[in-house]
Amino acid sequence: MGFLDTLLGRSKPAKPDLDRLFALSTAAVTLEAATGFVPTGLGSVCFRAAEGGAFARLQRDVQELLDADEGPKVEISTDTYGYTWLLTSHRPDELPDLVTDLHAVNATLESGGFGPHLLCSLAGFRGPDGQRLALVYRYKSGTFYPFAPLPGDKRDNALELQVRGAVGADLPFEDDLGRWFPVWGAPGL
Amino acid sequence: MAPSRDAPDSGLTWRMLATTVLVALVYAAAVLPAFLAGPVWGAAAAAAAVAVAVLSARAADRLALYAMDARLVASDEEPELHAVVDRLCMSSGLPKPRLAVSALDMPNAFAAGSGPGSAVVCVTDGLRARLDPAELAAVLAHEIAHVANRDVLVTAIASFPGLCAGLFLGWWTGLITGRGRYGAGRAAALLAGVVLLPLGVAAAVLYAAGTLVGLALSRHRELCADSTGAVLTGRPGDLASALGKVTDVIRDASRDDLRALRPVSGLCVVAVRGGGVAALLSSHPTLERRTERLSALSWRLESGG
Repeated sequence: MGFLDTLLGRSKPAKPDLDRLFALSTAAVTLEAATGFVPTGLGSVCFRAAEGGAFARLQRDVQELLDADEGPKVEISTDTYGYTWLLTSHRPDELPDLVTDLHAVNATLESGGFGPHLLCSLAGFRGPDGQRLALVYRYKSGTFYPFAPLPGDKRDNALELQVRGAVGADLPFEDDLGRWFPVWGAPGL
Repeated sequence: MAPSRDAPDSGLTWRMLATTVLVALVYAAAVLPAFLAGPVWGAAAAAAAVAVAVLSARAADRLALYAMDARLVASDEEPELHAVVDRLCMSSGLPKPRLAVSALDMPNAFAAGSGPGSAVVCVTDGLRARLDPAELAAVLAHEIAHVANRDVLVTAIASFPGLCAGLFLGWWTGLITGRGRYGAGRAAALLAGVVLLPLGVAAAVLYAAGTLVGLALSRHRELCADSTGAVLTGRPGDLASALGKVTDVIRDASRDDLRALRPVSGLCVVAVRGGGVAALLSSHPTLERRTERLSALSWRLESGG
């Protein structure tokens, strides 16, 4: 943040780059080769529903856009913290289509001027022994990080680091471990 | 135009700039006497003033936590609170501040620490008991906005010359009135006071100007944090209703309850001073003014930016 912004009491949002999402397809191949984790075909986009009617309309727009594409249904749900999740499901071998959907949802929300309310997008993976893993794309920073929940609100940090080792070169990765924010109970996880 | 986090508001920006210039003038007035003694002394005085201001801002977080009887909480102690802040940080791109909980029953929240790296955000038990989750998120977003804007550092630096002038003024008044001195000591003190009269008058002016300017700056920063925080959650209405609730409780609270909050009042989401204080002498804008701005923001978000 610049000196002038500090002085004037404002902060500038970073410029997001949604095209980075497409890197997920390559990363998934590398991930499977290195760790045996395969895509579940589930993915979701999370945003904060603003108050007012405009956003309800936008939510409908997103659904229509994806439906018009003869794509899969998007399931809309709201979590306990007031964030809205759009869950899209494909067959596990259709990861590129899933990524296209995630991109479309993000782009629609962004062009509607609601970019500041986009939180993250994620794609779900399953390990050989059924472990859950998500690669989370944080909209604000344009970076990815892994999230591997264990039963009882714990995280499998070892697995997350292993995933970074495997696909860190394929994706723009979040360097700061303090910003690997947990997304407990996210749809598509 | 897409609404962005800083809720562009050129009026506010200009007022902030004007206040900043005033703060700079207060600083200049404070170090000017030293420049009369020579440029080296002047530069040294300026450097010392800034250094002390920065140091006091850095120690302020521990002091504030101590004054509020607050303790830092880890994510496994307060998973809900951490989850709310996690998400705010995800959408704001800020590093996560440390979180603290104070056992006080008065509803309030404050942010301390000089910048995003060392920030701590504290909420009281009273706040958590009275607000619903969406309102709590709105208050936390307001505090995180303070962290993002480095408001603690900025206001500490801004109020520092006024604070020093106030201290000097107190000492000088002591000389003049001869409080606690007798006989020859009293006469000498009076003489010293008269000799120092020009400095005393300068300190009085500096103190008045510094305090007013510092408070004006603080009020502007509050408004900025309101809009940044509201855009962060996308729900200005939640913050408005939270501010309303907190203000109600504080207005009805007893003197003793309020005293517990006084040390950190300037940092709090809602100031603890009552409505009887003139607007010019308040560190926070009035509830009406804040609500009005938040409604305007609501309306703008509703109409699609």
